[in-house]
Amino acid sequence: MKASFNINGKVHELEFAPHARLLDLLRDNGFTEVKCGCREGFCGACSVLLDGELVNSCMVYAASVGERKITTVKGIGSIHEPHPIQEAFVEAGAVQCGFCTPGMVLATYALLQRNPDPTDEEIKEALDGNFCRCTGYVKIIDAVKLAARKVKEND
Amino acid sequence: MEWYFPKSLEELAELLKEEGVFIHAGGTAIKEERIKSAKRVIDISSLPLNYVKKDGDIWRIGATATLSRVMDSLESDHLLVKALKCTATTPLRNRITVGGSVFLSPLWSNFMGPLLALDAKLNVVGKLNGTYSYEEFLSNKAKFQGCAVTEVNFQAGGSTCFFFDRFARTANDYSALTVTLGFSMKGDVVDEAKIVVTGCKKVYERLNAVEAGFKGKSLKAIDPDRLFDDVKLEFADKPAGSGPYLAEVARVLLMRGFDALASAR
Repeated sequence: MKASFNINGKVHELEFAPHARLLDLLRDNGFTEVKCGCREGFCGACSVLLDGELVNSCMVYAASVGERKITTVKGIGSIHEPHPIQEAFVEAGAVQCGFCTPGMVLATYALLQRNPDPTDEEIKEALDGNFCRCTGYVKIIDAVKLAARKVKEND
Repeated sequence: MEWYFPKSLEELAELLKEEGVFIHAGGTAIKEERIKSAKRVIDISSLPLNYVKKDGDIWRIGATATLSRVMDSLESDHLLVKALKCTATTPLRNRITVGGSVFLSPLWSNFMGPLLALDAKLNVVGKLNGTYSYEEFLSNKAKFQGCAVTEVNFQAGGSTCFFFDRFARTANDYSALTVTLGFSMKGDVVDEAKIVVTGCKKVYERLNAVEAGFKGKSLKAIDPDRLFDDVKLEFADKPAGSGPYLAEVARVLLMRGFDALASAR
């Protein structure tokens, strides 16, 4: 089947199987910043924003997305123009292998949109669906707190 | 296989008359094979069912409202919010819908016990049209094939105080069992008690005999140590523990629940 998808602000006409997951649709069409981890909705590596809400793209059927806006990590910042959250992750040393980072950054983005000044507990709750097997999370929580400060300064 | 996106309940009811249809809301509990084998998948996300609203003294939750939306809309100490806080993870709660969880009862759905304790009712369209109790729905799910749940509703507020807890290996793990207790008091004595255990061999159990024993009694007059001695709960062996172990855990959680509600009085 064929449908239009609004990905990172651009409309793409894409072909996909009726049972295809959003994760596969994105990766098959070059959005490889969306990582494929567990395919069971546990690890959060495939996180994207759907109308601003964090979801596991491996748990979303592509056909059901409709006109909702899809945002991948490249939709909030690039290597040349990084988002303050991406800068914060680098500065805080929260990136090791980097596989979980796109999901972590988007989880942080979704959190700060709702709650610009989160507590440690709120950060842990917001990132409960994103696993990191390198850092032990301490640096990631530091990065979210730094990101909150940076986003506030930018505003 | 084709996807359909009805825009009205009438259109949905028409589509439900056909054979081989399957309803999709959030899709998190639907396996790929199920989608592949369906003749038609009906996606209900375009229907105006994404709401959580208080209608007088009734909470009404539309079938496509997500668990996150329910958590944001109900009072923060509401029984359902307590249950949903330990359900799945943030990105999944943003996608899992109330209708899907009620209809499919997936492993991660912690709110079967709370909805039973709240005497929740379901609005249904399709082969059966109307309002049914959640308990009736659970006890005869086959009857509701060819139907779609459009709304879950239950009494708001009231004088009932509730306790909910669950047992799982880790915070993100599926619940091996849940216990829900609710006491509606008249002065110092219990007017109505509701006690539900889920995850057992019978899917859920209402502890009717214990509930009846509470009626008209002061909580202070009840010996919590002996309270659940005669309750025979049967659990299958699960990754979180053997059947007998889980039965013992359920008993401990029930006693803790009673203690928590009695000491809160």
